[in-house]
Amino acid sequence: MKKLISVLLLLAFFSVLGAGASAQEGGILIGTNFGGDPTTINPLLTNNTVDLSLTEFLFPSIYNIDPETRAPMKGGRNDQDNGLALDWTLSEDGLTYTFTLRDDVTWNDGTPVTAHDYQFTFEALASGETSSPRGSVLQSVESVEAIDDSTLVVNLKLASCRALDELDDFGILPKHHIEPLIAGDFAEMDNLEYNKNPDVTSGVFNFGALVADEQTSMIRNENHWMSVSPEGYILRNVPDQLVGIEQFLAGEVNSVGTAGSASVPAVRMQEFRDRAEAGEFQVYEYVDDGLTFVGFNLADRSNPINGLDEDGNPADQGKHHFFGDIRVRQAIAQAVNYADIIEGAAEGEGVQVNSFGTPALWGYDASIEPWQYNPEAAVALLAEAGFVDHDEDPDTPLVATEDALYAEAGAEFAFELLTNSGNLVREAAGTVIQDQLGQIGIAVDFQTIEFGPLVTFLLGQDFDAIMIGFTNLAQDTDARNVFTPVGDTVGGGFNFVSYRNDRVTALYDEALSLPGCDLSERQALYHEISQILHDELPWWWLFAPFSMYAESNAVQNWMPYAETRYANMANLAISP
Amino acid sequence: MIKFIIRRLVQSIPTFFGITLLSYLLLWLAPGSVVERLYLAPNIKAETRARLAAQLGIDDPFHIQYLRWLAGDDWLRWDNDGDGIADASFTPLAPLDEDGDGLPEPPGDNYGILRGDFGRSFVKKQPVLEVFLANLPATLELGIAAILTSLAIGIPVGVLSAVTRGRLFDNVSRVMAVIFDAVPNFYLAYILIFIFAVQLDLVPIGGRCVPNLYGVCPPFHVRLSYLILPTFVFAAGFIALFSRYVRTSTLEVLSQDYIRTAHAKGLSPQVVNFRHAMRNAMMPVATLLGPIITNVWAGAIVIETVFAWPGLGRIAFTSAIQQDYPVVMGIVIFASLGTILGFLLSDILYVMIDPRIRIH
Repeated sequence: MKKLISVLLLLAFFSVLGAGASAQEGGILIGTNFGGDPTTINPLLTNNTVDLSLTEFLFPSIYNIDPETRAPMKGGRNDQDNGLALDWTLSEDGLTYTFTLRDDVTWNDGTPVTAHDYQFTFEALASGETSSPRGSVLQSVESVEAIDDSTLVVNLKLASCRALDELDDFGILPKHHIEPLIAGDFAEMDNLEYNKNPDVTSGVFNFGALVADEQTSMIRNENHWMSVSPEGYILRNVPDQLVGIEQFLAGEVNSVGTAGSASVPAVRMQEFRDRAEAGEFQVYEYVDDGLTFVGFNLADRSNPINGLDEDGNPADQGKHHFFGDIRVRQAIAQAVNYADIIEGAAEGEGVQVNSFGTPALWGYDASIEPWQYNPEAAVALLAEAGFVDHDEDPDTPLVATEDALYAEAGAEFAFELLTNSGNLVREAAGTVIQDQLGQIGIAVDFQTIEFGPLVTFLLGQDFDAIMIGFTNLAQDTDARNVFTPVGDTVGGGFNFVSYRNDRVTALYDEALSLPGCDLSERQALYHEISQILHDELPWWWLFAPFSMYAESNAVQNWMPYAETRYANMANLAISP
Repeated sequence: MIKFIIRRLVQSIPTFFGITLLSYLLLWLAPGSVVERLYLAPNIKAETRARLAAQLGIDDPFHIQYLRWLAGDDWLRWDNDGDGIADASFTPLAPLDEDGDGLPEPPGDNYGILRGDFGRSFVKKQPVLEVFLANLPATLELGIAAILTSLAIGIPVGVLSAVTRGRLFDNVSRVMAVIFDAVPNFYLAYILIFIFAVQLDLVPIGGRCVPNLYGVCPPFHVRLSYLILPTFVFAAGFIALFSRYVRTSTLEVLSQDYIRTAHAKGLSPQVVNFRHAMRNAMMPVATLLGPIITNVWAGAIVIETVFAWPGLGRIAFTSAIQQDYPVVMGIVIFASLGTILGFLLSDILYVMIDPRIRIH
């Protein structure tokens, strides 16, 4: 009897073990998500890649983005956009857009999707009563008016070439469904059950279910005009990237990352490349639309003040004792070997950038020669700026002479470089910078600190230099908030380095209000800005990382683009 | 006994409030905010972030934030005529028009923790209690499985180790105990995942189940395989702890006169060891149960994150990183109550195991 029980127990144990390796049913695309549960599935309130990975398949947008060029597209299809506009025109004064929308799109309850839905969504945003972070569109848009179901008129406050980009900053809500729920009070928008369980949608998928900290699923919308092949799309919530990658390699999921994020870490890219070449799975690589840089505080950090006073006039912010002098910044830019940073810290998975932006952005000027490693030139520039080796001891820092513009004579050249802890690439890059600047007599106190305090120092403009990265830079190259005094507000503004150059400000204004918004004319203006930013180095331009999608061989007919993993969701076939 | 329990619970009240005040203060002192973490991007204006911070109330002074969390804010500003606009307020703390824009602020709608309102998650944008209730079963499942497993393995191993003192089993179990105790659980987790999930493909790599498209998980017995690795990693440290304590106390008990008497009476070694010695060697187990329940909360943070286990530990970790105060504070309350009740349970078990102990 005892033996029989033992055998039964063993059988039960091994049957339990076997259950873990069961395969998924066919036709369902399973992705991994390292960013936690969606915070909301309301397309007006979303603000992270997880939310967006869901809403872009569930809600219509005003127009499609061409997945190849990343430019707005009249008509066409992009299964991750679900855009409505067949055509649009801009009035001669540049103040009115008129959109013609598709008239064959319906919500999944059968109600047509119309221009009134867009107007309603915009009005919710404009009310300022929701927690939507998508307020940038209100800088240039005065009002939105649905003339009829398929004609939408957008009136601008001022001619702005960025307005078109901003109009596509949010998905469209079903007015007929939401309006009764909020009873005229847009503040109620944040409290809707709909935000976690959007039952009325109009995307290639319908919402399935959100299982807290486990997964979110979508189910094929059989009635959508762009019918898709996969039966459903599941985003498995995996907090640990290492575990998520192993799940992919074990075949438990189809992809590493969501539709909106690549997520193969730099340290694994070569391995993934090799294994993809061996036919184990598929990968797609591209240059990310984000960059890593060091921001130099150009103003006096002991007394941070806004770039403009209350009357809008330039304020005297003082000068940083080292970085206030452009020669010092240019010396530093030549004192570090970029190959050591990219090869050593970023595992070779990146490309050096020359100015603001990355090769992925249309405004980026690839013809500008990036700063090169030239320690002799760096030492000479530092000497010209008044920083010399007073004791001929390579282990002691340079000191300022009377010639230094802003540093007191006798002051040692030592500064604090901060970055966020946990980012292995930046931690390694910081060590390279510390070492190589040390070799020319600049003492770098390199510190990695938690992201929260880092942001406090950054926005409070209380730092010497900070290494940080921007990802998902807007498709439009306008960066007035970053490099003009408009954004130089202590505590919140993105011109945290307090950069001011009147020519740059004028060029940004001109590029934004250019009549007709011709792309090549704007590009020329942004190229001029790029050259100035390259030369003046308010940020020290380091590199743009490579990104890599990885998809299992079970996903057939996959045609990814940079920043758009599933533009052809309709044609995907998922083998069991 | 009832009086004792009530007295202990009453004594816990000031401790509990002290914990909440200290925790809230620490969170408040932490640099940065949830708004900066979620909405830090060049295309989101500083004004927008300021508006979002005001909507969440995190721009208020510490005492207002804590009071609102503790006692709600419906008594700070209220709406008499039901038009949705505040028309009266408790002026010393909350002026009707706080921002000076000539318009009254909205009426308060929080009841506070003292009235059972845990608030809303800043990040998940849903009531904290809903977040808990969605994740509590997973943590209970894992925690109970880990404690039961550690008791089921740790106690017999401790007893056998004592009985076989100095022999192979004793030496091996002591070495294993040191290893289990010393190896960090996240490291053990990665090793076991690599061996049993990646290389041998015997168990899933992570998660609690594979829900279908409609979010439905298979029944418990089908998804038991998901529990094996996290339970073992969770229990490893407890097994080591229990086995060492039980071994020591069993050795002490085995040297007692009544054990010799039992042997002399001709009772079998199994009966002597497991019926007579083990019960009396259980005191350390009772002592340890309280701290172990506390450790379940702490351990869950790491284990649940590594194994993608959808429990409260994982929520605690992500909420702390994101500075989602209401959720973190809710977890502090649950953990505090769990700790207080865990120690109370220890005391009660003392009495049950050793009738000589009397409560005064």
